[in-house]
Amino acid sequence: MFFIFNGILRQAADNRRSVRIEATTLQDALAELTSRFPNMRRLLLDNSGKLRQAHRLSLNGQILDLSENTLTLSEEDHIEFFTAIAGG
Amino acid sequence: MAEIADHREKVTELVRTRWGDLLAEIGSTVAERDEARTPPPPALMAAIGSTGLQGLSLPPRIGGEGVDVLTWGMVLEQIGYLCEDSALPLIMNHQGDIARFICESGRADLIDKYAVPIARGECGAGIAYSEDADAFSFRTLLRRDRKGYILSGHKTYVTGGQLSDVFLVYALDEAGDMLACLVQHDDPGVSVTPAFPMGMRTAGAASVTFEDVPLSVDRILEATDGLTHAQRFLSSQRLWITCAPLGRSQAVLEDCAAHLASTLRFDTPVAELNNVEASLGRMYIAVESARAMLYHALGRVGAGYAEPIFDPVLSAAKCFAVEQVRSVVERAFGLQGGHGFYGTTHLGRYMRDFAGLAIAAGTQDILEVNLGAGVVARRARPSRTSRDA
Repeated sequence: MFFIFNGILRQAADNRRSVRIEATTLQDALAELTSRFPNMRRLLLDNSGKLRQAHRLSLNGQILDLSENTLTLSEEDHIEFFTAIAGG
Repeated sequence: MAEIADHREKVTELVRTRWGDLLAEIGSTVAERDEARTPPPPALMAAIGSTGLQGLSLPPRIGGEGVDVLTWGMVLEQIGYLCEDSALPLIMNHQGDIARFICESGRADLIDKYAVPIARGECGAGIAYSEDADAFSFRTLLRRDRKGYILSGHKTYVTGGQLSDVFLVYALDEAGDMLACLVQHDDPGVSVTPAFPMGMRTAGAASVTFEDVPLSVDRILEATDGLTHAQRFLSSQRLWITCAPLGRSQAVLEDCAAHLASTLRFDTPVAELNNVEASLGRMYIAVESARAMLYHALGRVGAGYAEPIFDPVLSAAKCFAVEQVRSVVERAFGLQGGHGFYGTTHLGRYMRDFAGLAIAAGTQDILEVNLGAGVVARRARPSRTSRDA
């Protein structure tokens, strides 16, 4: 599967727009992603290891319900992050 | 559609009857208070609570009447129409959402101590989030100690900060996660400094500094992922923030038409010149289209269809309504010539006040980027359903 990044997450992914990950669930994909890019861990996950809901995710163009992190993924799936963070 | 119009009429009557005099009284001193940069007098803010206006949209558990989202949006619109102080609904919405979020926590201790008095107008509250940094680089920190936590840092812009007895503060912990906590104005180490904003100068804005403020564990409202908590708060504010200015833009349009009808040029009322009629027509279109968009978003949120952090329709409504409201004030200024510049203090104040809408609760640019990114993401990739079919 592929992760696609914008904004601050793209910076944390060494400015790569897209990263390919070998994983069959969203949970495993996030674990692999944050292992490969440790700076991304704090941006993506809270202290309990859960994905921050402040990030919107789309799976192949459809907005994902973040409670579905056991979601199964195929090789061609694209998950895109939007850091919809306001204020500062 | 007829149902909404009927409902709006009832809400208009309700606000006018129950709070019309109070709102007019608060508005009557706004020009002087804007010059002096002072918020509404404490007695009148207390009356907003004691007469039930602050609590109208809040849950009955904390003494509110629990009106639905669309009704509250319409109430705000009428507050904006009846009250010349643009900052009043801004303060009220910050306080209301703080009470609502405390109530949602289910924590009886915090609800009784803070949410109930906020709803009654006995306790001012402000959100202490902004600090001129991105959310991952905040310098306001909460560190553990033997008894609980120690808070240190500085929040630069707190709406209603000068009126606040309690602050909803967002701070990073040692691991870099964000927490939300409640800090009292009279906690040791808390100092409040009046701010000097460009607009909304009657909102009692302040910066707040925390110098090693000791906090007990029970003051933590959200122990993990406070970032999401804050974004939910801002998303909610994004919905409310243009409702009152919409009502004010309606009042500006009516005042402008009345003034132009009584102003003669070439022995003709200016309002009857064709180019002026067209301009008033465009202002009318702006007000009506902003209202339609906002009611659509209010209905969507009320029905539970909105995404809690970033809802595209709600965000689009905010962006659009801000542009329309500002265009109405700009056009009124252009139509009224010297009168708008010299003859009234109100238009200039609204221009400054409503300029702030473009940056509040998510800047127009950020919202547009997120909306556009969503459009791009949906552009070409087949959904699983269609791909699998």
